Amino acid sequence: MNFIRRVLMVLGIAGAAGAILRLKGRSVHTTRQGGWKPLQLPSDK
Amino acid sequence: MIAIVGAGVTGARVLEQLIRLGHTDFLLHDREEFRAELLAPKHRSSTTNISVVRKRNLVQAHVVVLTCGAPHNELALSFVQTGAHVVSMSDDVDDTTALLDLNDLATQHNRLLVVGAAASPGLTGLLLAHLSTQFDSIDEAHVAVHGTGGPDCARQHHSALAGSSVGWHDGSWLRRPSGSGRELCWFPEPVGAYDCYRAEVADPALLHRAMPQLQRISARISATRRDRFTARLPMLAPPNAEGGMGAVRIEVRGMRGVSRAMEIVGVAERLAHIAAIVAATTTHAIVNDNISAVGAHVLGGSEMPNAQLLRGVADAGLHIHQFVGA
Repeated sequence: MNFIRRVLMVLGIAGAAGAILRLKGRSVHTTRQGGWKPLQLPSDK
Repeated sequence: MIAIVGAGVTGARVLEQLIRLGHTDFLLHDREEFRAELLAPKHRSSTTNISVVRKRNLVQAHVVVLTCGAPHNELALSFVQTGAHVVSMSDDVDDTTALLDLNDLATQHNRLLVVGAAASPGLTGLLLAHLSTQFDSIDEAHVAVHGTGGPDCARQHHSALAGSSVGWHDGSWLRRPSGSGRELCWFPEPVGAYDCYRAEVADPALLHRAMPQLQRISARISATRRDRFTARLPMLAPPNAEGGMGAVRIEVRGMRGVSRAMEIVGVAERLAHIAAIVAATTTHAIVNDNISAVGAHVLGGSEMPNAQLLRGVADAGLHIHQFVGA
């Protein structure tokens, strides 16, 4: 019974840690500055 | 005559765009006939003839546009066999793979099957082809999408976060769990920045088909915490009739001279509208015999008139933006 409790506790802690890491992880910033301008397409069809 | 299969949000937009391009004869079919019956009268006029028909009567069409939810491969198979060109807007990985497998059959019947003519995939291929002209060589393409179109698109978005993403990485397919790989992606205004995650979407496979020289291809979709937590559950609430403002962007990296360069272009618009413009522009080009290729092809591939199609998309009112100043 103790063994099952320990297994469940370990799984619970691992799950909670995984959920925290999954939800609280930092975003990777690919671009930090700049802006958007209209794209110039070639005029010839 | 053009047939449109699916009278939902995307189908209605495709019909609007084709009428704008001057087409006048349509067959309309939906598995729920009342939706087609509701849509047709809104666009019928003295010059525009729209007939609501059963599936078996669609064989009269010269081009069939598949706007309904996936799968499209069995429909495409039957239409190609009856002698119609097919434009599929499917964005499902398995479905697009099955559609590309119809290449030999379509070639044998001398018919064109355009796979993934929507926003992502679709517009991403056209933008990739355009950006490739700004480099001496390209080796990476990374796509990100925010938002959904109609209800079928929302269901696809939901299931894409529960599957296994496929990316092309240094010459081999890399599988990673959907919902991983968080990256903050900036989309054109008014959308702005959203956290995007790997997802089971068709873009990497289709972009690889279009440009096999690429070494790395990835695709991400934006998602909230609730989206990711509930991804493996059935949808808790029915999807909206249409998602709000969406956006598509593609980041391409390669060599320009001796230096490494990167370009990002994107579009902010409702996704169903973007997808409909791409599908209608492609259909218009097929009807006007501007595409000589036969077989199964993707937008962005060397066989397609990508510059002409992208010009048509821009002329339809899509504002394409390029990121500068990074």
